Order: sequence, then C-alpha cells, then structure tokens
Amino acid sequence: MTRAIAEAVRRYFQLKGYVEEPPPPQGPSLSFKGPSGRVAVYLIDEEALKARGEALRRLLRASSTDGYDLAYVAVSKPIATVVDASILHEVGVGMLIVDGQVLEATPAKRRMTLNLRGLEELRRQLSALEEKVRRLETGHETLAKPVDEELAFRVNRLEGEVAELRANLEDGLRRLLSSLTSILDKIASLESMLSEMRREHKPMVEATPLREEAPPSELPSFFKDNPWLRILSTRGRE
Amino acid sequence: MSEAYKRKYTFGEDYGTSDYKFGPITLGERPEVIENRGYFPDTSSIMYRLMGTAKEVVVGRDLALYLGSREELASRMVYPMRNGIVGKDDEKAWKVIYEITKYGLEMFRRSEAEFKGFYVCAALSAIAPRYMYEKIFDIHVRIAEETGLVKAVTIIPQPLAVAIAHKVPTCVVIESGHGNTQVCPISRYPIKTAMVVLNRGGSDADMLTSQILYDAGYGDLAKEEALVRKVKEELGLIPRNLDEAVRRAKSDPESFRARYRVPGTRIEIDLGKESWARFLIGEYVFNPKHEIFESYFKRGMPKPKDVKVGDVLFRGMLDLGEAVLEAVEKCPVELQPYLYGKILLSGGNFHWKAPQQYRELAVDSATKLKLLLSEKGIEGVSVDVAPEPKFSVWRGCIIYGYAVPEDYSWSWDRMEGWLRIHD
Repeated sequence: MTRAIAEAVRRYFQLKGYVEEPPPPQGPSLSFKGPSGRVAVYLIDEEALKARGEALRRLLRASSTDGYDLAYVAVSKPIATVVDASILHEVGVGMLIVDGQVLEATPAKRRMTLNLRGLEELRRQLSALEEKVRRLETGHETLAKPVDEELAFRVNRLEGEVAELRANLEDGLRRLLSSLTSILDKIASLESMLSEMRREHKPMVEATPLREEAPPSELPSFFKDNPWLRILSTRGRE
Repeated sequence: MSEAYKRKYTFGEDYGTSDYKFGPITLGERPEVIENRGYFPDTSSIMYRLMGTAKEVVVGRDLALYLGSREELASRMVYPMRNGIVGKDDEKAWKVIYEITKYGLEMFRRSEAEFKGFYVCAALSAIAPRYMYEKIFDIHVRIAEETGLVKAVTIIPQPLAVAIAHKVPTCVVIESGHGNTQVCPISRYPIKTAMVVLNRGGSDADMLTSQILYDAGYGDLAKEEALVRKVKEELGLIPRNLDEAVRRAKSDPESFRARYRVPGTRIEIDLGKESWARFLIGEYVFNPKHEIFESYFKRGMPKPKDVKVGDVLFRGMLDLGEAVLEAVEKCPVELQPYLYGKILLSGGNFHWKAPQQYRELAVDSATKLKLLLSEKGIEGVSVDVAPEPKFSVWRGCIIYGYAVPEDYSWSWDRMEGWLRIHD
C-alpha cells in the first residue's frame, strides 16, 4: 500500500516536471525539486496508523517543515475521510488524495523558509549573547569581593553592546520580513502573469479601450460583436 | 484604470437551481462549477469529532467526504435555490449561500498589489423578490469585510444574462430550471411586468419518468433521483404530435424500444412494451394539459398547481405556447413582432435528443415550441436553443460586470448599477 501511494505521488510530481531527491534523515517521506522549488511529501498510510502516534507525528512534522517551499501530506482515500483538509490548509500544508491517481484536494501554501531560518539564527545569536551577560553578572555576584572597577566597566560595555545588538537585530529582522513579503508578492504576481501569457501564447500588450466593434482579442469570444457592450456601457448616462 | 482593472477582476456568479457557476473574466469561456448545495454534518457523530471539523456547513468539492448515510441526506443536505426562491427566514439556506459565495471568491484570491477586490455580478432567478437581492448584497458586504475580495457588487435577473450572452437585445428568454420556468420578454431591459412564470420544470418531468419506470417494473430504481434524471435524458423524446407518436409506438413497439444500460453497473433498464411512454416525458414539459396525463394524476402524481409566492403567480398547467403568447401580449403591440422574432430557450430542461431514426415523430425543443405557437396562429417565429446553456448566465454576468460603468450606483427603482463596498 505504502509503495503504491509513493509510486503514484512520484508519477504525479514527475509529470509536473519535478525531480525526486533523497529526503534528509528525520525528514519527509519523499522529497522533490522542480518548478515551484523544493517539495516535501509525508505519507500517512496504514503503516503510520498502526504505529501509535506515528500519523500524528508525521502531520506535525509536515506542519513545521523547514527547508522546503511546499509541504504536502499524501493519504489514501479511506484515510482522507478522517483528515480535515481545512486544518491542514490553515497551517499551509496541502493534501493529496491517492486513489490510483493523485488528487490535489488542498493546495499547499508557499513556506517562508528563508524567513524561518533567518529568524531561528537571530534567536540563537540573541540567546547566546544573553547567556554571556548572565554568566558575567552571576560571576560578578559570586566573587563576593569589592567590585573591580575595570570589570564593572567591561560588564557595562558588554551590556551596552548587547542592547545595541538586540536593537540592530530586531530592526534587521523587521526589514528582512518586509523585504520577504514584498519579494513573495512580486513572485506571485510574476507567476500569474507568466501563466496568463503561456495560456494565451502571445506577448503582453497594453489594454485597448472598450469598443463594441473590435473588442480586444484577449477577452472571451462571447464579447465579440456583442451589441450589449455598447448598450450597457451607457447605463446611468442615458 | 477602471477598465483595465475590470478586464482582470470582473467576477460572475450564477446561482442556479442545481449548480453554482462562478469565476473571474480571466477564466475565458467557461466558469468553475460546483453543486449549489450544502451539507450540515451531524455535530454529535463520532466521525465529525474524528475529523475535527469546526464547520457547521460544508460546501464545494470536499462535500462528498463528509456525507453520512443515505437516510441522513434528505435532512442534512440543503439545496438553497431549488425553486429559484429562498425563504426570507430560511437560515440554513442563507448559510449555504454565504458559504458557497465565499468558497467561490476565495478560490480566485489574487495576490497582486493592485488587487482591491472583484467587481462581482451575481445572477438570480427573475422571480427573486427584493429581500433576496438585499440578502445577496449583505452576504457580499460581509465577505468583503472578512476577506477584502469584493470591491463592488451588482445583481441581474438570469434571463437578462442569457440575452446578453447570446448577443440579442430584443427577445423572449425562456429559462427552464429544476423547479420552474420563466418566460421573460426583454427589450434592452427585462420587461418584468410581462413575465410569465410556470410552476413546473425539470423536476416534474423527473416525476413522470419515475412513474413510467414504476409502471415498467423498476419500482426500486424509480426512487433514485439521479438515475431517474439520467433515464429521462437518455430515453425521453419530444413528440411532434403526441397522439400520433403514441399510436405508432404502440403498434410497433420493437422499433421504439427504450433501453438504457447504467454505466459502470449491471443494470439495464428496458421499458419493453411501455416504451411508447418515452414520448410522454417530452410532451409533459411543453404541454401537461393533454388528457393522457390525467391517469397519472389520478394515480397520485402531483399535478402542477397555480401558486402565488409573494407577488408572483406561478402557473401550473399553462402550455408553453400559451405562456409565450401571454407574456408577449402584455408588451406594446409595436414591440411584439420583434419579440416573436427571437425566442431563446435556455436551461437544461430544453436539451432533448431527437434521434434521426425517429425524425418523423420526435422533434427538438425549438421545433416543438414553434408547433405550439403555430397552433395558436403565430407563424414565422425564430426559436433557438442556447448552446452551452449551463454557462450562458455566467457569461452574461461577465459582460454586464465588465461593461456597466463603475460610477453607476445601485438604484432600487431601476434594479441596476453597482453597490460599491470600498474604493
């Protein structure tokens, strides 16, 4: 069963132009690279249901997938009836229902991997600095001897540096997030334009004004020579 | 700016009796289609708790995953527009319409920075009362507040959308859906005062088909709504003249034998010596007054009755030719020849097979209506069956939404214009 689901998922992504790559240890069941970036797929099969907590573990991993642009869970049709796609949708995880063929029941949302990684790194650095300060402060108290002026000076200086670094990091993080959002919006906009251009097989042209006699070619065919366009465009001005 | 914007962000919504057709102008020729229905799962069931769903009502393509037993379907499945009109206080139906509308708009959420919401043009049955317009507006305002997906909204009657999609400014549109049939003269605007509504539609022909299946020994299958509809579509014929068709079919049953193999099953339906009854199905849509139907009414098949819903009188037994005459004759005399000059038949209830081997006896919908009008002395009528009727209304909505100026505000007197939700 597991193999059949995995094979169907492989075919599905290969047809979409993806290439399979070995998944990292403790990572997803299947990993692909292709037009929309890296895709992680977690199989929730009957094996996963048999092992206590394994299905839940895979779902949780899918929801916190890092290093991938898209994450999916792939389930057989009977299992699909007990998995609420709307909750997966809320955490950005897509759902593939495998029943011989693969049906994308819920699309996956693009994961902000850069953002998460960057955030994690910044958090780590900040914790390390806080730990240094804490050690210095503790050491300072436990010495139980008159405060050495030079030591006090160094601690003050370090505290100042930490505060400055914290401010810089927070500022940098805000700018990073803002840039990321803007970049993602631009990518989505470009993807949409590209797919429209592909569908129409023609270069983008400037919009021409509405004219009943010769509607622009990119409008659907039922616009062509439609006398209602003139009638309706004068509504409210008659 | 507005036209370039509308070229990308005009959105059509056709609230049909069975299906909800929706989508933006960029879809091209055909909209997305989902069934116009919602399922209210049993919140106390173990399955509901296992699935962890928080939804009170489920709509769209995932709906099948939530279905319970067959017995539950009747009480938990809601088709809000089954008869074109939704009760003002029918909370369940309005909840389904809200969810379906939101589902459709969310499906086409755009991420471009310039996107400030769709120009939404929704189409309702021509008999929809004012409170339905108000409710549909309220639903869109609410969705706009929750999601930002609606910039402005307008509502038009479905027959007007059909006329727009078929490029005819002056015509009579006959829209026949599941529960009723609307005969609506149009001359640049729908002439509402001349409209005639029949209290019968596809579901009445389904009932007759069910009775015919029962008589032929398929009582168990006669209860399956979807199957009965399929049998009607596959075996039903419109007779040129019912008496003549029945006489010929009874005298030569083998030539008119009606057989249908249900795909993917071992079931074959064979009407055998009852095959002559296939001509009744088509006749009933056009003329239920024929005396042959009396025996069915006496055996308990409901007879279409005259009913008044709000200000609208739904006629039960008027034949379709009479309905057209009555509607056209309420219009100015000068206009009447132009209206007879183009009659558009729209809706699934007008799509019937007219097999070549029966062409002497079986006709298509357009020919049948011409014959009915000819009997009443109206000749030279042009009748067309709308091609792809399923999508006509949505196409009309897209053109209307695209062409009507954005600064034309909604007027309750004229029942047109835009209700702008935000700039």
